[in-house]
Amino acid sequence: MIESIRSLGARSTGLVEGLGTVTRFGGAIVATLPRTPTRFGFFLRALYDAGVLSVALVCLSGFTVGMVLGLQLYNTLTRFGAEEGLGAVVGLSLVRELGPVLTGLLVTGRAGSAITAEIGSMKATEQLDGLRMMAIDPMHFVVMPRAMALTVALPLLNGLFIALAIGGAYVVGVELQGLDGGVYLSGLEDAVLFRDDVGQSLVKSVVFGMLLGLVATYKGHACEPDAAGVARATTSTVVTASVCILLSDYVITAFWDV
Amino acid sequence: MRPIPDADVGFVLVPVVLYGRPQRDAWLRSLASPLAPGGSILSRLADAPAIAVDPDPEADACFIEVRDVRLSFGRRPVFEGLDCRMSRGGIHILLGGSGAGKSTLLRMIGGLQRADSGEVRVAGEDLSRLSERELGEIRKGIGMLFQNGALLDSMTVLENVGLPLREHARRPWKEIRGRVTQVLASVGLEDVEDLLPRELSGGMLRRVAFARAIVMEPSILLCDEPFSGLDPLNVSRIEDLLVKLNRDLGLTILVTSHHMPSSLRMADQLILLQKGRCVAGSPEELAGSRDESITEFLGEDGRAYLARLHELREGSELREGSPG
Repeated sequence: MIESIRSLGARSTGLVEGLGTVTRFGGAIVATLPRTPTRFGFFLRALYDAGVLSVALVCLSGFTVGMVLGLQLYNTLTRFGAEEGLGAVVGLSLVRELGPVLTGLLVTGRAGSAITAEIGSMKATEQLDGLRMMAIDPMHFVVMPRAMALTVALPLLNGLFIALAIGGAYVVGVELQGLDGGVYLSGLEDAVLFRDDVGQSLVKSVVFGMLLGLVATYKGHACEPDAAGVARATTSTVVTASVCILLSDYVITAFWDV
Repeated sequence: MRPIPDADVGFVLVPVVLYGRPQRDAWLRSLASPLAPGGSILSRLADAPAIAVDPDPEADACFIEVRDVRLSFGRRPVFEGLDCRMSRGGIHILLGGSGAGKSTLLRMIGGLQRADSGEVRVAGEDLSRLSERELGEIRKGIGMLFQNGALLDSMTVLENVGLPLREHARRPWKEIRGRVTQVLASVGLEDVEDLLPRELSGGMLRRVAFARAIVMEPSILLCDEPFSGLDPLNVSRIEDLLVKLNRDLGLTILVTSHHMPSSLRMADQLILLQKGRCVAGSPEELAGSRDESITEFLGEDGRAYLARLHELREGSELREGSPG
């Protein structure tokens, strides 16, 4: 009994300690932002790796998700004679929830894990120590540009995902099922509000990008400096970032209208 | 640290402040030429504290000082009260078996590894008391060659070697290229500036890493196994370069090495690490030592090592004495 309480206590303090470490790490990233040089070139390179190289995956996923959504919703709405509402339902579900969450999860798997692996292998091969020995702060040189790139890339990819998904649902609903195109688009236009829906989508995708940037860079920076450590850190990034995205999605949704 | 009035005066003063030998000016001017008209790299770093030098001879003898250092990795003790001193301007070779703590000691002197207790002092500064930012200032005067090179994968050779110049001297790449080409030539590399590290052989990688370690003309050079993976020609080239840097610029050089002939030829001081402690002395002193406390401290392995050292020195003397 005492042993279980002790174990629970140790886990709790470990969790709090871990949260504190991650928060300090996040603070250290923010502290490097005003420093010169700005590392804009590294940021652009990281943005290309995290963003541009994810475009194909996001486009394909967005379009197929839109098609499936269009098909499922059309069939369901037809049962109630409400197929005219397809545009509104597709638009709201994509803009408010599916877009930011699915983009976040896709980018976590595609770019977040890659960033963890890259920073982890830089640590394992002493490249980060090499930077320190040249009096170059790895937080400023390596971590900050990548964390910022994820924060910027996610809202952009989210927009792309939503646009392609709306297009996919249009193809199925209008072109294949015969719904009127004007009805689909006007339903979409009426239902989706800029401040409430697009604003929420934007806030969510920025928050998810920041969380993913923090988790991916922290896991790489804190991993054991060997191949197994890098592998564990990469897996951990995918799991932790996914859970963070899903939990924060609920929190933002719950507090948005309060 | 003495104040440096301006870049021009710093051009002359900084090498003196860093190394304390005015005759190095000419050599430094020759290094500076590719970057003209900006002056030498050191002059442009005049505002960087790098490593302050005390002209006191006692301070010279303890330029790098390790005092009662204890360090454990988990349950495995690495150092158990390690004490050693390294004089300024000397070549110090760290010897010892695998896991003796040679690389760890280098990392401690570079401020990359903190001791559990004890002090590591570089030019009088206790590294354990410094913040990461303060350590960064100290590191501007330290070059380090890592065992696996530690070159940045995503950057070309030019970017890797020129990075410290770019970061601290803030010169455009066009100007840096000249200096990088010169340093690469000194380690026997030509036309590799635009290659990525993955396009180089192991030996070339080590030489590029060596070039990066010396490109800022540091006052302390830490080399972790500089000869491993090199062919005999390049072992000789790096050895000559280390000796030249030491003799001409007064660099304090610490080398971990298993390459006995080079170690013996270069060393001003040998530091034998064993069982978390060390024995230090000139090669002659250690090879000829019959001190019971030293031989007892070294144990059987250590005594065998000294005997081998003695044999090698005698062999080397015979070769040097023989005609042709």
